[in-house]
Parts: sequence; C-alpha cells; structure tokens
Amino acid sequence: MVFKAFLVALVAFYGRVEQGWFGQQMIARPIWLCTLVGLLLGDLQQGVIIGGTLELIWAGVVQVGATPTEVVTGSTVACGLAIINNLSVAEAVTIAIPVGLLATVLNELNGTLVMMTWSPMANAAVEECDTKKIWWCGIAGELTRATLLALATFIAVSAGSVAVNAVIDAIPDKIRLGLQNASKILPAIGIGVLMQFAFDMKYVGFFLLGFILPTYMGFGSVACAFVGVVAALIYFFLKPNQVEEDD
Amino acid sequence: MSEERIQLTKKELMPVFWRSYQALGCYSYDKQQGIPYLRAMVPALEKLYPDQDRFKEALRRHNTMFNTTCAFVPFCLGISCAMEEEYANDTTGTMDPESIGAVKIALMGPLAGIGDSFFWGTFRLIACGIGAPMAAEGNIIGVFLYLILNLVPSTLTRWYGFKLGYEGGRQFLARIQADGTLAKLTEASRVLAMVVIGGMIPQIVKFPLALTLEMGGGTFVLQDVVNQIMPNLLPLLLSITVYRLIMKGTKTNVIIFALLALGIILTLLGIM
Repeated sequence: MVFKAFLVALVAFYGRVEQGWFGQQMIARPIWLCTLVGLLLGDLQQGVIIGGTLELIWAGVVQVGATPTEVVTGSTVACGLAIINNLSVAEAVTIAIPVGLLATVLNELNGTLVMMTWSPMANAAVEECDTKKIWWCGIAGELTRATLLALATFIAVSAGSVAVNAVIDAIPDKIRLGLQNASKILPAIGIGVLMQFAFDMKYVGFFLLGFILPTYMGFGSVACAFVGVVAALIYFFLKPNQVEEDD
Repeated sequence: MSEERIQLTKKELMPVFWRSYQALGCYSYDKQQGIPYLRAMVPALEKLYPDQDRFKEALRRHNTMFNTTCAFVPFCLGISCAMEEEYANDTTGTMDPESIGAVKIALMGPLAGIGDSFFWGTFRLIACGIGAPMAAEGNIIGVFLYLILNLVPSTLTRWYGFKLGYEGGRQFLARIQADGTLAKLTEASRVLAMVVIGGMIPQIVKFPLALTLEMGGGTFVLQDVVNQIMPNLLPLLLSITVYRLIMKGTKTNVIIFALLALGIILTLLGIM
C-alpha cells in the first residue's frame, strides 16, 4: 500500500514539473497522468478509462489566471484510490472533484513561499551577479510546489484507502446512481468554460454546424475537427484583411 | 570595450532555448514568469557583457515581471537576445536599453491572448475532443493521440518561434499585426474552436432520461419525446446555460456542485 502510494505520488510530482520544468505542453492532464498511474499500479486499462472520463469533465479547467482546481493532484489521487480499491469510474470522479478543490490551498501556500523566499533570493542573486543562484531560483518554486503536492498525494492515497472504502460503502445506492448520472452532465462545465474562450455571437453558425455534424450525421470527433479546419481555412482566405495597404 | 562585434552563437543561444522550458519554474505573484525569464537570459548576457557592471545592469533589466503563454516564451527570448546583442555592440550610444524591457512588456499581452486561445483553447481542445472520448472507452490510442496533438504544435512553435524571434521577429510581428493577418489568424482559430466545441457537446455531455409513464394503453417515454424534437437537445441547452452562468460571473465550483445536486435530485425523482 505504502509503495503504491509512493508510485502515485511520483506521478503527481512529474505532473507538476511537466508544467514548471518541461514547458507546460498541456500534457499534465488527467488523460495522461491517470494513464501513468494505471501503468504503475498494474491496471493500465482502468487508468486510461478514468483519465479519459476526468479529462472530459475537467476539459474547461485551465491554468490561466487563478486556478479553480488542482487538476494534477485531483486526478492522480482519485485514479490511485480507484485502482487500489477497485472503485468504479463514477466513484473515482466523485473523489477527484473535492480533492482537486482542496489541493488548490497548497498551490496558494506555495505562492506565498515563492513570494517570501525565492523571489527575494533572486533579487539578491542579481545584485551579487551570482548566476548559479539565479539558475536555482528560477526552478526552485516548482520544486517546492511539486514536493508539497506529491507529499499530499502520498498521504491521501496511503491513508485514504481505508476511509474511502468506508465512505463509499455508506452512500445509499440511489445517491450513488445520482452521482453516476451527475458525472454524465458535468462535462457541460468544460464546454461552458471553453465557449468562454472562443464564443462570440458572430461565430454561432460555426458552433451549430459543429453540433449538427455528430447529432444528425454521425460524425466522430476527428471528422468534426477536419470540418473545423476546412471552415477555418475558408474563413481565413475569403475574409479580406481589415487594414489594407494604401494604394 | 573592444571594437570587435560580440556575436551570439549556437553555444549561447541553445542554452537560452532549453532554459525557456522552465518558464513556470518559479511562478511568483509579483514577477510571474520573471525569474525564469531572467534565468533563461543568463547564458546570452554572460557572453555579451564581459564587463561586470554592464552584466549586472543587464541582469537587473530582466529581473522584472513577465508573463505569457509558455509556447511563446522562446519567441520573446529570441527577440530579447537580438536586442541585447544590438545594445552590447552599440558604440554610438543611440540605443536606449529601456526599449528592451518595453518590447517585452508590449509583446506579452497580445502573445498571451493569441497563445491562450491557440494552445489552451484550440489545440488542447481538439486533442481532448478526439482523445478523451476514445480513452474514456478504454482505448489507449486516444491517450497517444492526445499527446501528439499537443506536443507537435507546441514544439514547432517553440523552435521556430525562437529562431524567428532572434532573426527579426519584432519586424515580422509588427508587419502581420499591421496588415491584419494576425487578427484574421486569431479569428480563424476561433472558427475552428467553435466547430470542435459544438461537435464535442453530443459526444461528451449526456443527459439520459429514465422517465416512462403508462398512459391510456400507450407508454410515454420522455427520452423519445425529447429525441423527436431534436436529439442531444438537453446537452446543448445545458451547455449554453452553463456558458451563460459563467459569463455572468458564477464560479465554476458553484456550477460543479449545482450539477452534482441536479443529477442526484433528478435521479431521486426518477426523471434521470
């Protein structure tokens, strides 16, 4: 159990440093982290399924500005607990949401730590022209954050298994079915947040086009994306440039 | 200062490029990506300013607030390197070092706007729309598709962005901004995103209705009635409602709990 919790914590650590040290290439997400958790815990299939499901629910949770949910911790803890305790996908989702919310507190804690420690240290290093110290300061914030969150993951997974089983068993069947149904409508949040990025009334036609393709024509997501590329190309080449050269 | 021109070579530029990956390595409230940006500039500044005082002055210049989409950080670094090189070799005293910081500040806003809509809002979204439903059904190919669709655009943007930034990116950006290409590119990416988002709704949002009533010999199946109006109507309406709530400023966490409650209540009532 302790060893398994350690493996899950490793994935959480990796998830944080992917963003801090490897360029935030959008892969420190449930779909990839849960796959890794599944691989390390010996149930790849379940890891992939939980990862895909959580990705759909958290599609809209993005690390821009204030983070509403600590996706890395939420997904690794939930996936780890689910695989170790043979929980269903819906139960994993139910665990992931509160864990993700709680872990944001640690992010804020680390933000304070950076403000009070690493940031002044970097200022001092500049005055001393100490390039080695600058090198360390530039990566220190993510080292402390990843360590904090990995530690929290380790504790949550090793101590949580007992508690989680008791709590899950205590939930009445009807409520559990309700949670399962709720997890089917939750991805609407992802859609809503994404629309916030891109939606504008003048694009409503493209939005409805996208909706109609799978609804009435059975298009899959790859086919939809191709239609989207075609629509974007048409738009780009047919729309005149707004600022024309004087001639 | 020697008369010979100090030129940045691969030996300094490559470390700058690799250090761009740690842009979020020490995110602080006051400087955001500022410390990692300074850290990335160090290899170039060391070569350009052998004189200790000028070196310190350069370090101070980059120890400021900076923040943009990670994939565009190499582009900005490329521009900063080119400008520092220009300043280091400026013997006539015509170049104002303040302009180096000013260009950084001027770039980060628009680049974050485009970058967030491209990388968070478009590429990741397409990757999610394609990969996540496959993964949710247990197909590991969905995971690999997700990774490839994210890593390829981001890696290309980093590498060519850095090159372009160093080799006159400032002029290039000004040109495409002035002739409207940049605005059009952003709009076209939103068109693509809209089609993908619209197409995601029927695939990821499910609203199963369980209600059936016996009525005068016939059976009333609520799901069938809704489907006759329009399949996936409820997921569409729900998504639009959530979007409108978000635009009104409702916190996502509040919506999460509201939807959890909605699911449980509708199930208890026997509707779902």
